[in-house]
Amino acid sequence: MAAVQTQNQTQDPGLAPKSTSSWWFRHEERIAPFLYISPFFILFTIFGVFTVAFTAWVSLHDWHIFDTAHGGGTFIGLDNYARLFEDARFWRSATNTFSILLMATIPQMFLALILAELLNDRRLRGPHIFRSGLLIPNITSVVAITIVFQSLFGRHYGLINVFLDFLGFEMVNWTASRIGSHLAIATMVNWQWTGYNTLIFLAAMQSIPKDLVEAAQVDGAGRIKRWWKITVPLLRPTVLFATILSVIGNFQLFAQPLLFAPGVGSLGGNDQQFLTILLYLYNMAFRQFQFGYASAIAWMLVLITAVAALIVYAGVGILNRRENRAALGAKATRRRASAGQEVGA
Amino acid sequence: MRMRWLAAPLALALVLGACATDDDNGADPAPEDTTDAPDDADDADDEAAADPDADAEPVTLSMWTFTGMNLDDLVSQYEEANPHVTVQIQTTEHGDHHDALFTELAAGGGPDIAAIEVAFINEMAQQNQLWRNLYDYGAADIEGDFLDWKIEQAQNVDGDHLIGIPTDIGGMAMAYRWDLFEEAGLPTDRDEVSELWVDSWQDFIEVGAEYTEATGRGFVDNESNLWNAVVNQDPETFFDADGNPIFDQSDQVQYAWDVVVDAHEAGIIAEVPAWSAEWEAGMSDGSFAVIGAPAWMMGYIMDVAPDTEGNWDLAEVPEAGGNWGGSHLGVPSASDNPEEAYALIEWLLSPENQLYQFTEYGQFPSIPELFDTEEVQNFENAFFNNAPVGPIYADNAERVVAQNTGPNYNSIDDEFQNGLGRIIDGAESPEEAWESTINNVRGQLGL
Repeated sequence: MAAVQTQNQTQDPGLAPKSTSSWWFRHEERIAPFLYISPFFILFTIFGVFTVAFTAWVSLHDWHIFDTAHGGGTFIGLDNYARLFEDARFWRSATNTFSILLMATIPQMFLALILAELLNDRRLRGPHIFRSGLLIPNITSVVAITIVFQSLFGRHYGLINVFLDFLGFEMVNWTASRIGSHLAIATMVNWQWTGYNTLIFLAAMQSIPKDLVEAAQVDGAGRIKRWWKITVPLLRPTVLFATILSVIGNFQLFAQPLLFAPGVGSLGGNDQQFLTILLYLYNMAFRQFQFGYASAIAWMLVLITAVAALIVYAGVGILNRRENRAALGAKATRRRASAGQEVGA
Repeated sequence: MRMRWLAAPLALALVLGACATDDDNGADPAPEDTTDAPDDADDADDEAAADPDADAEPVTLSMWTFTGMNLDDLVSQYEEANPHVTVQIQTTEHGDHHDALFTELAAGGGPDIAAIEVAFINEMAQQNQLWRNLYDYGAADIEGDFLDWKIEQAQNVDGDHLIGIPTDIGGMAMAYRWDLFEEAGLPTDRDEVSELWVDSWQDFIEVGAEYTEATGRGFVDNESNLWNAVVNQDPETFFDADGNPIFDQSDQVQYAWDVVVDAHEAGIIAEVPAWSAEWEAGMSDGSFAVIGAPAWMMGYIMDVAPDTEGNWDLAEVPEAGGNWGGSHLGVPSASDNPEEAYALIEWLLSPENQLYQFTEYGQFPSIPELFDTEEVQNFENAFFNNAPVGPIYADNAERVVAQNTGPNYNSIDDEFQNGLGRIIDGAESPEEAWESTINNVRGQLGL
């Protein structure tokens, strides 16, 4: 566009008076791109950066919800953070969050990888039906999912307990037990997100060169071996991406535990057995009205999430490096072996 | 204590996603409309011509209520009688309503009229800068009509700033299934049933033990509703009259705790969590036979268990008294039309209209002179086997004493109910649960 204007200028100088060709014309080319992308950054600054920074500011105060209307709370420095470290309930919520995170992420990734492999089969009839079917849980409202699962996990008439009873096992009081409630909540998360991850993995699988898999097939590798030794390693960057997203998503777990047990939900059960960090934050801010402390929890959550994402990232990095070294090692051995053969011949 | 709708599942649909948009839709249109209206000269003239109150300018009032208040018919009547007034009612679930209201107030906004439930009224009365002083608009002329304790709940400490006018009260009775009582060989007549337990909660537990032994089923629905029925029978629970926290030494708190623990040890608690789907199902399928029932609970039972019509009856509550629920209507400071808002509130909560709400929706009036009227005294409810609902609740209402609901009442109450829940779940012994509860409350209050 700038080029066109320069051309116009040279062809018909009369149309462009000297005044306009001054500052703006000289700088337009450099400034315009920034103006084009600025709407996002302006909005992001107002609704992203400002709110996050303001939360940090609030977290340094003893700030009751109604202090907001008249200028803010009392400055107390890092007291809220100090309180956080001694708050047994916060650490319980952190442990719960990690426990649910593990129960939700690991089986979900495995299941998604297996489903993606099955869906990638060229012999599969009507693949679109299956693929779109996988997305249905994902587009269902969290609240609807939770209500259905809450009734499945009901203590007296829940389908799962009725089934356990039929098989001769004891009924489980899902909401009362710590492991039981984590399992129930992780099940809801898995149900909603496995299909989504499957589709991501499926897309990545389709970009894997067929000759690699076929070569392995010719070499006599079975289907499971091909999947585990060729497909899964090649999907590693995608799995990393999905895992980080899942970790971040799980740290924001809120609706499922809140709605899981009516009445006691906002405190995560009678014994805080399924209190998540975000739920505790909500409870502090909107039940106890302690905005300052709730903001401190929010910042802690940001830190924990960042650290967890880094750990996942680093873990995969280590795995990659080890693999590369192993591959190099294998190549070297092969080379030595073939060299030896040549020598022998 | 409060109506525990907060965790009713659908409630949170809003908090999660639609909350922000909901606030926008609910809060913004009203101020805009009211500022626009005077500019719209033609419209204003038309309205004024039709209006008997000729110089009244058209106003739009925004009004926030929570589910179950059912003020819509009365509001339409008011709009018909006062054509210059348009009311936009926004009704959400109990928990969402208060969340949205407090967030809006915290941001310096608010509707023209807002409902405040009893669990929050004291906290709001202490934050009285957020609310218009209704004494400035004529509340002093009508405050004498209402129960003293309901007025006191909505006053600041000095008693010169009134933030709300009382709607209904939650006087207590016990709703029981006479058909299940018959099955268990217990008396079914409401007077005989009252006689069985009216003297003490211990008698109530004994009746329950007899019932559970005969039927093998739970007697009372759950620990939290039993707790609500007992603890609210005395004004000194978590706070004394001066607002000092006494939750760890209050006799009433200890007493209510012991009643629930005894009931649990007698095995009469059905362990069906309040407000859960199983609880609602339990009202029909008989997994429990008794519910502590404030007047508004009648409407709830009729709603969720329509097939049990005629199988319920009402008896007196053991040891008499107690209040669970009930609300106020107030005018947030941000309202641009406090006079009009107050006029609507005063009309809505007049004796005739409170009587209408009672006969129509089972909300028991907060105006004592109504208690002895024929309409209340002769009111029966067919769903409850033609129980004389009016006299039962009226009788109890006269014995109700106001609780001192200090700040954080709601969260303290939650901690106690959670503590009892831990005993029921078998996670802790009663002694351990008491200790952890007291520690939790202290921790949450930063004491």
